[in-house]
Amino acid sequence: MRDGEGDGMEEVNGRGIDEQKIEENGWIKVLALITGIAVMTIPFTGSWWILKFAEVLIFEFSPFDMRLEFLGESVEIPAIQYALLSFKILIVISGIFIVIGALTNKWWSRHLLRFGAGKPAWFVLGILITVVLFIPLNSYLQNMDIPFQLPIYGEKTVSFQQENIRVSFKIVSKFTESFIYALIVSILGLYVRFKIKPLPPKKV
Amino acid sequence: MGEGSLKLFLWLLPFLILAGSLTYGYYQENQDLTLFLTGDIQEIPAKLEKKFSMSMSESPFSESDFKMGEIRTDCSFNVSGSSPEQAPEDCKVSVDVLLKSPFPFPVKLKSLEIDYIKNDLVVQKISLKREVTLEPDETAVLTLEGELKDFLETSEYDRTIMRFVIEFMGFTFEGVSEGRGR
Repeated sequence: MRDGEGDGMEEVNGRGIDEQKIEENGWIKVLALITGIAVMTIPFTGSWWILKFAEVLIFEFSPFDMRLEFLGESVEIPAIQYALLSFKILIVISGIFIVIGALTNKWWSRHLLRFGAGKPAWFVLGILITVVLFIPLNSYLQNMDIPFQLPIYGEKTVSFQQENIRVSFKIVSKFTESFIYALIVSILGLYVRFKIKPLPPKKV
Repeated sequence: MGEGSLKLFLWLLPFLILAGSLTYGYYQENQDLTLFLTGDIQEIPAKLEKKFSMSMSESPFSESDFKMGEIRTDCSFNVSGSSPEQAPEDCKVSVDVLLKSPFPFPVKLKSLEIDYIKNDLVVQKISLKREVTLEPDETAVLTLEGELKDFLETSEYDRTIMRFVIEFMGFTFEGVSEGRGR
């Protein structure tokens, strides 16, 4: 007779089912539930990063949406728009999985929770990498004798003189409140993921 | 579904969603899912040239763009017939100036000052007191104000110096332009 057999204990994939259920730790489930709901709202909070070059170029970006305006004309990159749509679907599904994982206590709850809880951190990391990619672009601008650099974060006023006219404009680059929100949710997600440990190796 | 299958499914899920979304996009965009920019981008180079060639050139304003109107004052004496001594220190005059915008797009005229100079001395100084939006192909009426004393002291000048600040699309242009005397 195998372990657990005959005393009402089921077995899945070589492990007792109780072993696979998330520990009856009420607060982590409540935290996971809150995180799950928060994760679902992330794509609808707006842009994470804004780059403005006077009012000539306005670039608002998040992993779920993008707005590019050049001289008042809206410009789109269809392939990127549909890729961003897939990220939006993925993050909403992640939130749903966290909520289901938090509300259920099945052998698969842990998997759903861990899957969903890690995803916001992916996107936060992704956007940080995207923004950091602007650093090499700055040295490229310098090589082209363009008299300004793009700030990674902050506001910069650029001025130059041309004959008897002085031209000045602002370059603004900033992370928005939506990004801060996503960052907090991703930290919560990582914490939930850390607390809900992966299953131990299968019994042989 | 076993644990292994679930793990595999969850691992594949992001890629499946991405593939599904791109496929959907491919058919939505009439099988032309491009990485290129779309929108009214044909308009952009022309707009760019129009906006910037105009503004980056020498001073966009010249004296001939302005048509001076009648000098007004709130003070109770005749402007043309008064001597400088009669002008109270705080007596202001205003002049309506007609300006046909030389720009093919709307711009904000943030400030405008005209100095009338004789023998290297400013003999008359008028300035715009509030911001005006200049619409293309429209003649704006600008009310410039100055000191009455300055107006009374001279009717002749060697040259004018015009300082202006204009703004459009987040760019601020501060310029100086010199005009002829009379």
